[in-house]
Amino acid sequence: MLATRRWLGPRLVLMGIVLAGCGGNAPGSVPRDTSIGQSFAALLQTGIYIDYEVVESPAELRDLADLVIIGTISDVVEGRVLPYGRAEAQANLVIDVERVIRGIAPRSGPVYVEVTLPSGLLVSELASAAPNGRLVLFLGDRTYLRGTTGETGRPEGSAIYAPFAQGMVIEADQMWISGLVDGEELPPGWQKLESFDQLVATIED
Amino acid sequence: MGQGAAPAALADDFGTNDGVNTGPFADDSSHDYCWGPGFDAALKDNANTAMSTLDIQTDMSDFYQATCDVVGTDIWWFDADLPAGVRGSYHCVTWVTYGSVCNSSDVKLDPAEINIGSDDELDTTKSACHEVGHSVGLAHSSTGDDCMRNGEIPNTNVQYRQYNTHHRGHINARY
Repeated sequence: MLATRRWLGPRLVLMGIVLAGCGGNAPGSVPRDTSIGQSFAALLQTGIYIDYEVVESPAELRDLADLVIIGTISDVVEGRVLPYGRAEAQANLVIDVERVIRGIAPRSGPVYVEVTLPSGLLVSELASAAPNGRLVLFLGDRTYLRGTTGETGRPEGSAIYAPFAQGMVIEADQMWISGLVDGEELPPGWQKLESFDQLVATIED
Repeated sequence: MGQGAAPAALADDFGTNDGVNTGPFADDSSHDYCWGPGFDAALKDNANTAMSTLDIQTDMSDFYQATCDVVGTDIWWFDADLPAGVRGSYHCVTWVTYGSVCNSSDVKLDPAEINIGSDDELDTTKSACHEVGHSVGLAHSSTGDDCMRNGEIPNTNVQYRQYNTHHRGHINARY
């Protein structure tokens, strides 16, 4: 059931998005919380595919990350443009932090997480699809990189992070969805974790 | 050009661009490429090999363009500092049909990530082959026996820098 929702959902949702000209809604048969997370994941993966080093479990990924947080998306705003290729516009996810699992988050205020904005997609469309449930984010610090547009989308001097390929886990109807890569291809150390809370429990000290 | 490929048991995703690590289709069987501005000269052999592999192994053909064209060049090659753990990326920049057929894309390789571990030169060619595969619609390899597997190659066998029979079958059936 989990695996089916995790990977079949985005397929159906993206078909809807494409048919609607980028911005469609999820099929009604999918529970609302789940469909929102799947829409968001499908949008993030539109025309962007990667070769990544597979990490066997959430606990191993936690140990690799600079910052691991549980939080919610309060906003999605235009981010910087990175100096690579023709299409490296970023969108910043503004994350209200509920809990820090690893690393040091700002004492106050949100954490800024950048994701590559798919070509043809507006930041406002991504914002409209943002899930309102919790996320676990396994992050690498990308503050050292210089964007061609400065620190767009975050307060001056604040840090900016990017998720690992497997590093965006979206709570969806008490289950979870892999935000940036196909959940079905994740190793058994991920697949065996059926609920969001179960996944969180494996990364808590 | 191309090796004979048996299009049997093509059950995995191909060209669906549906959020399951499957690229969209290319616009036609001629896969043009160029070096994007600043592309690391040390990576050109790997990129050339990957493009040649597509040409030799499948019914598609590769063609190098000395000048990149915004819509006419299928792949612009770049090197980049990608997020942690990401070795290469494919990104459709201009669409023929949004979400399903790509006109022109950026492919980026991150040597710093690829060079973690051993057999770095072969790993680079594997990642180049991997991203070219996404650019024609291939999904990640469920069997892990060709260049569409994720991450480090398990050994130096040439199969990890090529497309397996199954993936060749997908490509040859489409283009």
